[in-house]
Amino acid sequence: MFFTQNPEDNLAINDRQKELLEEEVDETEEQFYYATQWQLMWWNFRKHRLAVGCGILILFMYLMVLVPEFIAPYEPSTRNRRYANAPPQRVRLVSDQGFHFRPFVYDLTQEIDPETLQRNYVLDKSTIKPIRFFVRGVDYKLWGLIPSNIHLFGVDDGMLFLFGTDRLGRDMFTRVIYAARISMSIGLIGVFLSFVLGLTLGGISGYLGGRVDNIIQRIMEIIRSFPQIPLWMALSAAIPPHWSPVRTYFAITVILSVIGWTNLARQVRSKIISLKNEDFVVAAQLSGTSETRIVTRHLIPSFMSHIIAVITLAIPTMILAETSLSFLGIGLRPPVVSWGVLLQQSQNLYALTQAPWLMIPGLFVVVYVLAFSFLGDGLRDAADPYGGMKR
Amino acid sequence: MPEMPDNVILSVKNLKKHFPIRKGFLRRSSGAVKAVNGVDFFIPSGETLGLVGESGCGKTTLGRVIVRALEPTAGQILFRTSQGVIDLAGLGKSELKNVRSHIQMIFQDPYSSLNQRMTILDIISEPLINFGHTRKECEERVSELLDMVGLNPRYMQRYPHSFSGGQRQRIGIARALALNPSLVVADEPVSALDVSVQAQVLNLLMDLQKQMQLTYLFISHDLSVVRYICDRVAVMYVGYIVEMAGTDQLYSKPRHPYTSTLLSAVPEASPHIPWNYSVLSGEVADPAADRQGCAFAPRCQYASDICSQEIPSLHDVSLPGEDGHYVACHFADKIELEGVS
Repeated sequence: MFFTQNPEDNLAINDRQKELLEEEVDETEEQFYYATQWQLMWWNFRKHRLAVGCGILILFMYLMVLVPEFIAPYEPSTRNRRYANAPPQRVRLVSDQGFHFRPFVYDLTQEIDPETLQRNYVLDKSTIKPIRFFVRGVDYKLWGLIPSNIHLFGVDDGMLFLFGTDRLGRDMFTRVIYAARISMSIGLIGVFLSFVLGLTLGGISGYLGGRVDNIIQRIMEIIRSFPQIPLWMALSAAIPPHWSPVRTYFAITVILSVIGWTNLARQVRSKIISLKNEDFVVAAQLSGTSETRIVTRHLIPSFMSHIIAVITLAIPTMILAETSLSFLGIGLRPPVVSWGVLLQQSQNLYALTQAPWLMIPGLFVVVYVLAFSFLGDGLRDAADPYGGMKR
Repeated sequence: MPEMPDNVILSVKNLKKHFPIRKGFLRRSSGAVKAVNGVDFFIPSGETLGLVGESGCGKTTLGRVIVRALEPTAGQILFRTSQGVIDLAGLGKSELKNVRSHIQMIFQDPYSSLNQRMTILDIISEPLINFGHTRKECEERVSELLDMVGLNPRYMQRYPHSFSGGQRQRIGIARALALNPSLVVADEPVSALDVSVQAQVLNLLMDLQKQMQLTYLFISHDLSVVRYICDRVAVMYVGYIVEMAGTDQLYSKPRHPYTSTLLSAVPEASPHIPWNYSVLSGEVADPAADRQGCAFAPRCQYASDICSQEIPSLHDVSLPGEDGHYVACHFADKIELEGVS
């Protein structure tokens, strides 16, 4: 038998070990010992360079759509008949006269090809239009409150089309920025709604178990087994066409989240089921902790980090859903501009062959979705800072 | 009010815990796993009862039913509090909360038993807060408890990830003792620890028992640990207690064939002593099966007809000079078994 029957012998080890426990530790370790879960997560996340970069990019994009009136040089619905389907103007630094310190663009003039009768734009090299920052332009009211007419950039006279114009001569850059506001917020609001639904129903399902769990699970399976696009089509066909654009916008968000919550609910449910049987939850029960306190102090903090990562990964799905709905012409409709609505315009042979700049909104969708996916990946890796610590 | 001898703090009578097996789409119940299937034992106040048995024999389930983390299927759990004897098996949620402070548990896994997102102070003071102590009282009590379990009270603002397995187990012990319980169910408290740390934690448990007049139900599969710390030992096999006796008596003169085989499986820590272990044939009995006789009968070399027809009851077989040797075997008086020195 291993242990000596004389307790004194074993106590000797005990005292020596106690001294070791008392030993001082250096400061960085000390910091680690007092670190909360969120600090540990941040330290883990920081190591994930790509995710941090994407996080910054996303932050930047959201700052941009917070003030689209300021960022965009024009208004999204202003038509410029002289510049229909104009290509993007290249920003230049070198002209015939040499190097310019201020970037500039050349003006465009329309010419009709005498043989094909096709309209072409040619550069008018005599007009150098320097790009200025914080120029005065179209009047607007920021958030409907602050009247202003300062725009981030623009040219003094004439037009500046960084991304070209559409069929009606509307500035694509302006439209992409305004569309970003709709598309990017629909993702957030949609995910928020499905988060509320998923957390409540998934939480109830996992915590109560039994028959309630069974019913909620079956409902979710039924929702998930519908083919998505026909279901969206049916639901959005039910939106009355006379509704205002804002109402339609919210209706679309609700439709997206009614389908999107099931995935989140599953994640919450499985987390709760596994946590419910963890020893620390049993210990809390045994010390007389009330159920509300167990849920709020033990369960929710334990899976919150994981859920945030899942939500981050769910946002691009929402955006893609909105984009495809609008692309199919059953989501948002003009005059509301979203990336999907803009892409719908490029749905023809002309855009493909003659005006490829009309597909720039697609590029934004790709960048945005990718950035969120990388950010979500990083968050997911950091979400469980205790994973590698065991033993 | 139920009756129980004065020196006994916990007395379990015919306790059963069956887990239903549900099958098919409608989840109809088809049979049950009888994890604990009619267990009787008692613990005198201030003693340590060891509960040993192989994996899956129902030790942990029994422990969890006693602390009422699980609902018992049948039977009585009589427990002595200052107000008198109560039957834990029949208590509802609100009554149970009042008893919680008297019975606490120490868990096997020092990693999953502490919430990683709470500081040590929050973890240990949670039971105190539940029983209406103020923040300030908690802090004083926690520093006292940390001192008692051999940790520096300066560490109370740290998180569990800064502690080793042994230290975490000390924190778990401090939490269990926060409310001054009289009975502590220790579910394999040292089996997840290094051998060198095991000794420290065992000594700590023994010191605390003296200081606080604790009674332990010590669940373990490690026979050497049990021998070191326990006053009496109960051996479990597939949901039943097959033998219960004072530690020395049980180790030197086992009366149940299963106990004898279990003891022989422990190797001597010396290369010079030949290891005469006996190997059982067959498999461990299925806890879901309906049985008529002794669960050990199919593997027992002494078994005869009666063993597969009648379940032996746990009865007192003490010889003169022994006290309280209980065995559940039809042939306890007739067979000679070997123990360990």
